[in-house]
Amino acid sequence: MAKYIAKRIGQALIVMFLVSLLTFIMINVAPGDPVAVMLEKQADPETIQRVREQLGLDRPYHEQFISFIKGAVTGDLGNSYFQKEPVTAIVGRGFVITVQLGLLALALSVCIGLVVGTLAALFRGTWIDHSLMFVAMLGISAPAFWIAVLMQLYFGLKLGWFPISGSEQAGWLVMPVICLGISYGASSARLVRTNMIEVLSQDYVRTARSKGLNEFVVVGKHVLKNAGISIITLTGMQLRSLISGAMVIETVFSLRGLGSVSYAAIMSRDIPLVQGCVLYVAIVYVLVNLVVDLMYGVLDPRIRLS
Amino acid sequence: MKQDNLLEVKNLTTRFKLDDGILTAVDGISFEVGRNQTVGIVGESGCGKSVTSFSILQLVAPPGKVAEGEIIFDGQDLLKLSKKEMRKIRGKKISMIFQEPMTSLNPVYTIGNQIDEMTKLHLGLDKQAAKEHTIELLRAVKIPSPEQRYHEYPHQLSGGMRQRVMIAMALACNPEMLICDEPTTALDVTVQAQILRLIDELKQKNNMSVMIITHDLAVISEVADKVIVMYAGRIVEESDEKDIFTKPLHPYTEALLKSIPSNAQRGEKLFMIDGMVPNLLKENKGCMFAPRCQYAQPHCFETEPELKTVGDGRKVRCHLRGEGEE
Repeated sequence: MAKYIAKRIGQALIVMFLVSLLTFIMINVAPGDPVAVMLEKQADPETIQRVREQLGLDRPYHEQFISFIKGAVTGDLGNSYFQKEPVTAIVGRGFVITVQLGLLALALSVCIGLVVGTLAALFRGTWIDHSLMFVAMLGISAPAFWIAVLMQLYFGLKLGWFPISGSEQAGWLVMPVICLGISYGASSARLVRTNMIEVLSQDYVRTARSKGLNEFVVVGKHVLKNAGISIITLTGMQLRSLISGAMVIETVFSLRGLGSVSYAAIMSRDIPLVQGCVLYVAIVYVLVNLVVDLMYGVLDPRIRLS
Repeated sequence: MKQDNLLEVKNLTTRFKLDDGILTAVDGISFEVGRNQTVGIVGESGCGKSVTSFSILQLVAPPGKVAEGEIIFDGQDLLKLSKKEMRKIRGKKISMIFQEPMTSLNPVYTIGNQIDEMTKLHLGLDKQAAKEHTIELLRAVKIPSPEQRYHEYPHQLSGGMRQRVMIAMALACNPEMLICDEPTTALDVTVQAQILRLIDELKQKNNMSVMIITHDLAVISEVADKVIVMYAGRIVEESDEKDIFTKPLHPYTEALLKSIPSNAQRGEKLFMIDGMVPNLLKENKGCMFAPRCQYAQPHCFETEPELKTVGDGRKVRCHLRGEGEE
């Protein structure tokens, strides 16, 4: 196991290096000069040249990249061009917001998915199944930002229960978490239902019933663990997308999470900040993938033992 | 009910509500299983033999449902029990072994875990006692190094070993009756004989009644005391094991016996029953076997024969056999 994890971490380092290289190339190939954006049009060529020297943008590309990698290894990702503070501090602040939002939304999504999907599967073909799946379809079809705006209007402005923007007031997480949880939970519910129906028809479920186990144990122990593999796959995908920043929802609720930090950094050609955000997302992807792969082994001995 | 009958099935009918109509998989069958007796049910695929066994344990999956009849086990009608009461019968008093050992065990739990959960539930054993009991059971079904196997997963065992695990599981709570649904069909011939011998041995040891369901007459000849032949959801013949092989009464039984390849001479064409099993979704008139029967008379296509007793307690459903006939 330790050897496997070490191997995966080795792979992860290579992935992160390549991702950094690609980002560096792309941001330098893309039109638009950070200094021009920074100084707008009033600056004279001498000032622009001076700022370029200060930022180290006059050096050859490979030197710039090597110094970025050197810094990254020691945990120094440089300073943001515009916010004049270390990239790690900005990304760190965004991280705190995004992780709270992401993990809570994921927890809600998993709960909705498991409960709705399982009930629909157990009552397959009945009105319970049809109505749950109808609601799930609505949840998938309705864009999260639209639900967000409706909630802001009703619960935020009309009833005044929750703040409609920012992360300073108490209860700021409630509405964004519900919006994301509903969207992600609705698609989980459909997947859970399909998997549960498949597992429910397996011979070993009949064996479990023939032993005299009650339906709660049959479903909770024998069915769920078998349906778990694909549920874990989807949950991993949702976690990756939530933790790397739910940009639209962050924008609607004016949260300075990673999604909006990355978006602003890209628009202003803030190279160190873009690099920092991308590196961070790469780390999240690699870690979540590793956890998901390890979870497969925990759920299914056939994967673990091979 | 006679004292020596453990199970008495009366007029059992199980139907499946399908999109194309209602399929009567088991149509008013009645039979008894005595204490300590082994009853074999034979018939080709789709004749309703497995559905009969699922009906007894009330494991028929929707859209199937037991429509009518009585299943009297040890004096009580199982069809009148609540779900909770029925769960106390399953696994504890009546156990079942299924056809597919490869898929009948849960792949994500160890063998030990799957047997333990039964004894914990029905016998109230604690973790340690359940483990010891399970290891004893694995030893009783002749699984080598049971202490090690206890911690293994189904995929680490061969088909024969898995079927032994299923048997150990079925016997975990000393049931009074064991239902074996095609217990050897998925196994190769050498393993088949071992498993049948094991079932028979354990039956003697534990004083159980056994109901064995199969399409394989060789299996029946090896273990059964009484044989029930089913065709299209009905019982067509019921006899002692010896009589049915030497003097089959129903033309279907006769044809089944003729179809065993070992009865054929080298160079001779193998016998097969012409035609197809009737479509149970349609209303069928007359004897269900008539279209495939080589002795069929015009009236066989008109009225359905009753199951009548002939000779010394044998039963047959055929117009060509008279009551009291030897």
